[in-house]
Amino acid sequence: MSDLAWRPQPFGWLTQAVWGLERAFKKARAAEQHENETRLRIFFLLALFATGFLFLGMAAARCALFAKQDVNGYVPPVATARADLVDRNGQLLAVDLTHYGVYVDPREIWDTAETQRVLARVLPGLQASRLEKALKSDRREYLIGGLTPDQKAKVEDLGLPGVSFEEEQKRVYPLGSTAAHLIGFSDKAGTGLSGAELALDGAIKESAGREPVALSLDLRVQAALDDELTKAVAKFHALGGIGIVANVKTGEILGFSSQPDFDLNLGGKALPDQMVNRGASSVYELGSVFKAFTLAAGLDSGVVTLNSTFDVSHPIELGGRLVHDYDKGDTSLQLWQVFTHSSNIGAAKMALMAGPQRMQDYFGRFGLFKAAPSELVESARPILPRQFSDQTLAQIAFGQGIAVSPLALATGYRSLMDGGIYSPLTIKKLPAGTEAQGRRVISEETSAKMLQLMRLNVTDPKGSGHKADVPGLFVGGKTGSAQKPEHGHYGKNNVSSFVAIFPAEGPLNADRFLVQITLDSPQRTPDSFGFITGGWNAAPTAGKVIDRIAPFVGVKRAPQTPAVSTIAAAAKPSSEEATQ
Amino acid sequence: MNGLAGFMGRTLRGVRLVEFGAVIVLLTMATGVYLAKAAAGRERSDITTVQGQIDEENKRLRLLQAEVAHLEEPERLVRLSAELGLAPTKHEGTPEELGDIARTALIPEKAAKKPAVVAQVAPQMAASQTPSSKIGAPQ
Repeated sequence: MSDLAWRPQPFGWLTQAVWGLERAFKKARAAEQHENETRLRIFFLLALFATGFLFLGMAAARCALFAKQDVNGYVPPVATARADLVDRNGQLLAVDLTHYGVYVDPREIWDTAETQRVLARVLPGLQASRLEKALKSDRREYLIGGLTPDQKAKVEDLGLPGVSFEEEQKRVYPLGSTAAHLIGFSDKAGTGLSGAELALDGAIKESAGREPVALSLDLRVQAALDDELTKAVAKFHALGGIGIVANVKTGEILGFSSQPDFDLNLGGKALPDQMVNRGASSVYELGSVFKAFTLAAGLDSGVVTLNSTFDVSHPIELGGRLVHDYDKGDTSLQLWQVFTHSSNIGAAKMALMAGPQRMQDYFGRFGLFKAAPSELVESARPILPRQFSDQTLAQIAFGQGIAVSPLALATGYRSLMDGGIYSPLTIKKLPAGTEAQGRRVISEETSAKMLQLMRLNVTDPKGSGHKADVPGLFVGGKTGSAQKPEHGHYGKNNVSSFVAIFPAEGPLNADRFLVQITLDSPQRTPDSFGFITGGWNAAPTAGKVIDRIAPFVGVKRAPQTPAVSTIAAAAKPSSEEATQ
Repeated sequence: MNGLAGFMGRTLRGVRLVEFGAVIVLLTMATGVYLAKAAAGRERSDITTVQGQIDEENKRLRLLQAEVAHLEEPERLVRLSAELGLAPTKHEGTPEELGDIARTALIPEKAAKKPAVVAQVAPQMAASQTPSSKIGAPQ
């Protein structure tokens, strides 16, 4: 025992066992029972082998039955690089689909000429020079990628030796040009380059192979917006158009259209002008739509009330330019009429009354001096006057001298409509019941007054937005038309806008929806009676959009105007016969 | 020890029983391992085949979903609707009301006597329009 004492402790049990066995053998030998000694040794060896086999058998069975799948010969498919994009109702907007790349190995080809002829016929997109070069190579070469399963099957059916395929993922946009600027696109390496593809790049990559990423977009709303905006751009021969529909309460963008647009699957063939996101990355002087901010500032600060009166009988001089009113017959207007008649003189005078410091503060609060806070990277910074003087702020009061993106305008308007809280519009679908958190810019009372003013601008016969009215939907809104600066001075073309809210009536916390239409350089048409202002083109377009999307966003139409006529008829029996 | 020695010493046709036993155990274990491996291999092969089929079906499913989305492209539907002379319905209601609409269509003479409903809802309209008219005369 003493000579074994140096051995390591962990193997002590083994040495003890061997030692015990040896003692048994010695005892057997001492008793001259050699047979027993041999038998014992054989038994011991057999037992050792049996234990070993048992252990190996169990280990082999365990490996065979419980091994992980990836070591069992199964090769998982090529993982998608990006998650699907869907609209708020789960409609597919962007998807990674398995396509196939074609490879050719000239060493395995028997008839090179035949292979060249046949491949050129079934793969029309393949450059002849590339095919020829690949066929002359001494190794396997990549020919062309992006084959659909049908195209792959056509090539495969030819049974050409030396032609093989490899799977590759390709981003596909099944809706083509629908909401192209909001959805955006990614490159072949799977990195977002524009729109939601860029804005939500991290989330899209993180969710790849799992659940889709849902945008706030409602495809039904988007379709109606696209359709009406396209028609308006065509009808008024405009250079472009922008449409935004948003849920005022949550800030979710339900529709976003920028015309002209392009097919996301053919991005490489699109013209630069088509690829411009006019809603987020272009800035415009938007004109009288700014009067809503001006009046809100005046009302909220207590500088004016709705019945404050302004003398608008004479043009006002700003920076050496005379500012006129569109409706030149007005002499004196109350504040609400300044809004509905869209009086430049009234708005400028109100801004001058409030003072540059106060107006600058309010315009800043409405987010008009910065890029719209948005997930969209394209969100453009405004073009601001070099300095804020009485004159420049009076100009801004009616929407000139400052150029902002339509998205920034919509974000500012949302705060007017939503109880005075400013928060960003979002392209992400939010959980039901989410109410956006933001900063207060005006009081709830002022917000309620602005809703009333906007409604009145549509219902009043002299209101500039009356062409946006839709029976039963209580549409409100503000028009805006601004001359476009061209070659250093204001030219003859306009940017015409209408920012609508519906329903404008009801409690302040009711569900409401913003519809903004902007047309770039609309032209005169016979049914606009020669006018190119927002009330004649953008306002009716917004009305048409509202009429179509109301059922999709769950706004119920109130009983329609004929019902009122019925009451009137009942009250005035003499006119009843005439109406019948 | 004697009992064990006796067992070890028993022979059958000159071969010890214990050796028979050991060989049988050995063969049984080897066969067992072989069968387990073979069965597991078959299962593995089946799993791989099924997994491949699932992957193919998934690819096909995604392709079909994309095709459905493409076919439902709003612009395309508008174009096709226009070709067929279809337009959005002016009636707004729930799917549950479709039965009522069908019934109304079947009995036009009864439907014609419905204006009373308009008169019932008219006061709501009048009431709901009141607030905006107040703006015309601000305080």
